Amino acid sequence: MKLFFKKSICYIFLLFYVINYAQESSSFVIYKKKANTNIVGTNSNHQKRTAAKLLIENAIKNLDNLEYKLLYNNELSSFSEIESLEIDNGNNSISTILSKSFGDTEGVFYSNIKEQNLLIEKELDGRIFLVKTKFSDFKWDVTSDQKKIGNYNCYKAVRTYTRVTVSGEKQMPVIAWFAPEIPYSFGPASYLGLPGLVLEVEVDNIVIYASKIFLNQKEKQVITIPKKGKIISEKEYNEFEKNGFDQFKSFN
Amino acid sequence: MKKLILGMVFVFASITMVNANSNVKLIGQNIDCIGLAFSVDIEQGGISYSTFKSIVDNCERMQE
Repeated sequence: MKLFFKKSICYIFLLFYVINYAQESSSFVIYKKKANTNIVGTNSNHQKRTAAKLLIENAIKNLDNLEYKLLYNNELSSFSEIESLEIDNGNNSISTILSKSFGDTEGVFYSNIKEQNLLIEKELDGRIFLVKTKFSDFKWDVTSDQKKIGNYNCYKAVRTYTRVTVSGEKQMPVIAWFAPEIPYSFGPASYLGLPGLVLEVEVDNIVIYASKIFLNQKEKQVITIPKKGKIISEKEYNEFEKNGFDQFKSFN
Repeated sequence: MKKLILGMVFVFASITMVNANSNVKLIGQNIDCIGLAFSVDIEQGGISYSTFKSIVDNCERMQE
């Protein structure tokens, strides 16, 4: 009876350790970006447009230098650029800004599976905004199309993404490939909320793809949701952007 | 032979320097920064406000 009791305690401790480890272990994925096709327009009569075109071409060349890290556990995820040393001369800065903006990956993205929401930390005009969106707002359509990414069988999902631009709201299709074998609703930037980890996304002729996947790492990494900043909805943020553009239009 | 190799190295170095220089001179002085940001928006088919603002700020910083 005594031996049985001792064994039981050992099993309970072992079970507790395994559950605890499974809950606390974190995984991470490194994403990179590439241009799918030529994303530069053809209207290059004007000198300014030629300069703009060259800046965009440089930005495409810079894409290979950018890396992003998606860190996640059972509940939370964070997605942000991996900081690297940059040569800060003017043209490179503008091209780098453009490279970072491709695929709308600027800011730090935090998501919470329990609360089913996404929080994007953005800095604009010296102010920090926390833009909050519900997963249900993404309205994904999961299709039966499949393809292999690495060792994972992925399914295709599509939705519409809206970006506020100078000429108004630009609607564009998003194609995401998610792996149900990795049953976490996380993904790069705001391309998440699917029944599996998103390993590849195509938006506005930019492909964001997983280049390295590290699952269930022993090293525990803490994800802290930011509290500093004004929490606003996506609609309010879009309104803020529209007002900003209107001010620039009045100068031009 | 030595002269030929030296000559080739010189030509290669000159081309590299000219290329690097032309890259830096992509945006000259006294450019209309807001106009440039509008052009980038047109060429790329629409950029976000934060990108637009960053382009203007960086361009203006270059001209100071």
